[in-house]
Amino acid sequence: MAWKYPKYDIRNGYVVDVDPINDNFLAVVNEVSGSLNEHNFEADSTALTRDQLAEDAAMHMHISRKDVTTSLPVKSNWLSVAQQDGWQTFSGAGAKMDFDSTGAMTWLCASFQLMDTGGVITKRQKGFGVLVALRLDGAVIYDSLLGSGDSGTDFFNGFENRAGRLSMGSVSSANRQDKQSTPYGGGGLAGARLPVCVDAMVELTPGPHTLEIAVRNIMGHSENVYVTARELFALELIR
Amino acid sequence: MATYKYLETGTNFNASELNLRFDQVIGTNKGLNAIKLEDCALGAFRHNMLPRVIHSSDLTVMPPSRDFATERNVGFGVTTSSLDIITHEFPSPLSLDMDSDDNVSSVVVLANVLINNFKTKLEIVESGEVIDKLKPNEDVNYIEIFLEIETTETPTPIALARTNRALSPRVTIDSSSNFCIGFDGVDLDTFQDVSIRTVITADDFAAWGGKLTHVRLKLRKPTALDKAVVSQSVTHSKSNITAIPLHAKVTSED
Repeated sequence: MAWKYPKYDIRNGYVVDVDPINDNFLAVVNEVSGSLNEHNFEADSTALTRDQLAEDAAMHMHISRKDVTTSLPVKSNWLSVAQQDGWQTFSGAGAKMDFDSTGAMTWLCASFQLMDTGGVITKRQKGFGVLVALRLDGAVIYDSLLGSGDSGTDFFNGFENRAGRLSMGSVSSANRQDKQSTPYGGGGLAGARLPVCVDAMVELTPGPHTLEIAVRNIMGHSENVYVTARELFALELIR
Repeated sequence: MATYKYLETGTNFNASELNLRFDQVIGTNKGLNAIKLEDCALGAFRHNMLPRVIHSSDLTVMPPSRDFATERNVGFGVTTSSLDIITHEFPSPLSLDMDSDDNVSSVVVLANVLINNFKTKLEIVESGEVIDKLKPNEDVNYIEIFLEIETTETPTPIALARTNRALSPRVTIDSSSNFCIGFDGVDLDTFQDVSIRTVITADDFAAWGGKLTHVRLKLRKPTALDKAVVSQSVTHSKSNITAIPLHAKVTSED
């Protein structure tokens, strides 16, 4: 509220008292102490420039990341996904971020690399992979989930987990494509090497929060699964 | 913030006492003549009175979209070697320093490219067994994709190691549950969208300094790729890169 008028109209002949004086002054003082609003500023004026704004006047970016090579067989700073069912998280830069929020709509994002290879050349196609999502304060954000794993729609069977038959010699070229069937694939994010990006918009409460990359190894099946190069960030859109 | 000394009962009501209170409210550099940020209520300023908080302060009008994003909306391209997929050049070099004229602390980058196809020939000997060369093997067939930046001072582009990504062909599954590995077994349609998100700060080029000029999405043939085993070509098509400079406080939580 910005429109202010004298609370007391002091006129000739009135008894002088301190209260009308104090109240008339306080109407102005209170307004200038944190209550100035759009009524106090000319609408067409250019009031502020960027360098007059505080750093966090509009946004606050929290970042956590880890430089990692994807080359084998080094595996330096790779995070290993255990062969177990259920959601897994990790500690360390780029995989877990503790931050204090001022309380705002916040863009949460994780961008990272999944590896499903041990560095040893095998003839198995990758499959029965993993689900990935963001986990905030211990709760998986299902809006951010990538992957499936529904055995009713995904095809998991395969001969020796292979993508194609051992020998193509007996298959005519006309039928080759069909006959190269039954690889072992489907189910979550599958593949030897797969870049992943998951994000969500969340209204955060003020205070400390923990953001993590969460990975679920479907049925604990896949081995040699890793999270390598990774980055987490949270952009608070304060106002 | 204005202060006010209460006029107490019994105080002499004279000019001095009145002037003291006028001075506190409308005196030189006091009260109404010294409005501070905390004196304004939340939302006190209309949108036209506030500066933009994206891109450089030097831009006084809403920048065109090309200042934020570059698109490569073209047909298929085939490469057998490393290449620049797409480059975004800032309209003017950016200083990632909130104390500079740009008033920018960081740049959020969203990069995407569609990898359509891997074409490869494999012939692998594993434990004495010759694996059919028509069988795709992801362990040895992949490409690397990453982001790099340039500044006015860097002699060569700086690769951002945290954006190192690798992509293997995977398999293609058709509606009849047949897994097709492509024509003649060496032509792998994959249709995978590679997405990379990152935040660029001044720390990324602290060793060189300067102003940020370019962000580039690159494809790299892996150095570990065994040329005797894999003869690779990759088809790529649509790509885009969005780079949004922000007036924001940045906190590294590592």
